[in-house]
Amino acid sequence: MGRPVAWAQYRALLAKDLRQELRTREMLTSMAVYALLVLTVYGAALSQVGDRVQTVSLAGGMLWALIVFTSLLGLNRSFSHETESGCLEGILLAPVDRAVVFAAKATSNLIFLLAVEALSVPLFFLFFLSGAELAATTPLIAVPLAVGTVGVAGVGTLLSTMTIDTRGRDVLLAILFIPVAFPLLYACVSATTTAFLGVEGTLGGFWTSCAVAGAYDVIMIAAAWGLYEFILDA
Amino acid sequence: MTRGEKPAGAVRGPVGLPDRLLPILLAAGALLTAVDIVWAFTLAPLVQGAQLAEPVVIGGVQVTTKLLLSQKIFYLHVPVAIASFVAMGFAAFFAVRFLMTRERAYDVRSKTAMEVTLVLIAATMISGDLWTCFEWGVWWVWEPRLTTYFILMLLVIAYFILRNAIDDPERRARFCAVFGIVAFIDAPISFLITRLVPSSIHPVVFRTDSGLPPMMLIPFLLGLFGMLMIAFVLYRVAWRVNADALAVEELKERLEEQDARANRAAAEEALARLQARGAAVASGAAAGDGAGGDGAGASGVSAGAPVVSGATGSSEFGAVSPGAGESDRAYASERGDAAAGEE
Repeated sequence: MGRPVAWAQYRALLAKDLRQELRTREMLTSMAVYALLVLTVYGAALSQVGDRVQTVSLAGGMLWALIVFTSLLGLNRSFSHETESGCLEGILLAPVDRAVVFAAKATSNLIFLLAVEALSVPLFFLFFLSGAELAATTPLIAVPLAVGTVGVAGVGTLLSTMTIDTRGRDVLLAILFIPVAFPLLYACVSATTTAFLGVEGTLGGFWTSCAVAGAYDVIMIAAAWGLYEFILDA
Repeated sequence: MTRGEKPAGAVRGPVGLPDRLLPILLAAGALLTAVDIVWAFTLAPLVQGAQLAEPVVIGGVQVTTKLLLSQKIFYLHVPVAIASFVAMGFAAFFAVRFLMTRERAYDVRSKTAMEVTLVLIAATMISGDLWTCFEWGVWWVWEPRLTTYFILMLLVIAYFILRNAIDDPERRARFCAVFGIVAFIDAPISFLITRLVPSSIHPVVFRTDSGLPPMMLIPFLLGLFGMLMIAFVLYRVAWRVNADALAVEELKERLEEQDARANRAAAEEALARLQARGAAVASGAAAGDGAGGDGAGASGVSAGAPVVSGATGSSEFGAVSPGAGESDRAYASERGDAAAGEE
């Protein structure tokens, strides 16, 4: 199979996912509403601390908890309409390389996650950081956000494919996903918090954490890419 | 079923080590571990710990550092932890082998190794937590080594939850193999993290330049080999149980298959016999046409027709003659034409 063919298949599969989402808006709507609800819960959780706690030092962790939970919801949904109408069987019947299916699905998941983050991160700033003094390095959080979202989409695509047809798949995806993604989460929280605090001389640590997250992305996506064939071959 | 026609014993594959050696190995492992523990508490020197705030006099000797009795956990905790990494490595190795060969036997081995891993991880967590509580004064800290090892435990638990969530054995084996490989990625991270993250307060113990005096190194190595032997025996025993369970399951499947085949064959044979008998009766009836019946031939059949029975007297309405057997009656009610042949 030549490269142009694989590229055309990748584009067709990606376009199918995007078109489907634009028509139903199933995943984006539920993820956005869920993110808003998590922010509301944060509001209740932090309502009694007043000004005694510096929200900036907590912001990195809170932001990533929001992203992880929202992503879990979206990843669970991402395969639901594939199975409902037998779409996955159709794709597998076509002579498409499994790696192409993985790449297309991971890319569409990545696009949806980024779209929701584009909405929820500004809301997070609006709700919790509007009065705080932001460090000059704050815009750098875009780097761990981007690196982390790539990893979440890659690992999440593999694991959510595994959990499609299992009993209690919503819980199972969380059980599988959170431990596997933990090193990524740890590194991203560390980088994001460093960027939020913006202490002099910690920028080296910031880039180290980003590099760790990037290495995790490379390893995990390579593993998922190679193993996806075994997941799909029914 | 991938191995349907092979004898059930083949599931276990080639046996490398006779099972009768297992008790000996277990005893040797237990002995080595016991020697390690006794040595650790008698011959191994105490380790100089943290600097004390001011010199104190203990037993007539002025000391400036605290001697750490809690360090004795090192002789047990570290061998168990290393054995857990080794066991998980084997689980991942067998998972790879399964994906390459699709032999169900490798899935059983991978699962068994994962079970042993879980036991060893639990032992490591308990012994480590005791030390943490004694030495650091807290039960738990989110320190890199502890965190990554905790994640390792969660991954192994998740592996078994995944196993239980899938019914189809073939898919279960495939998915668990993939997850076992993905999960194993955390093991080297956990092993190396105390070397990679300088801020980690967990001691780095397993290294070639550790400079352990022989009095400490020897019991440690004894404990390490003893624990690896115990882990291996655990693995073999659990594997025998699992392989036998798989063999029983496959035998059951084959038995059901054979049962179904035998049933079908018996049914077909009965059908053929009845057809032959029906044909014989029909030809007999056709031969003695005018004898006493109303003259219906073998082809003239209507289910609801009033029946005047002949000499044999069997009919669709259940008047069974003494000569007609159970299966004959069932057959007659099913196949009106055969019964009608007797009319």
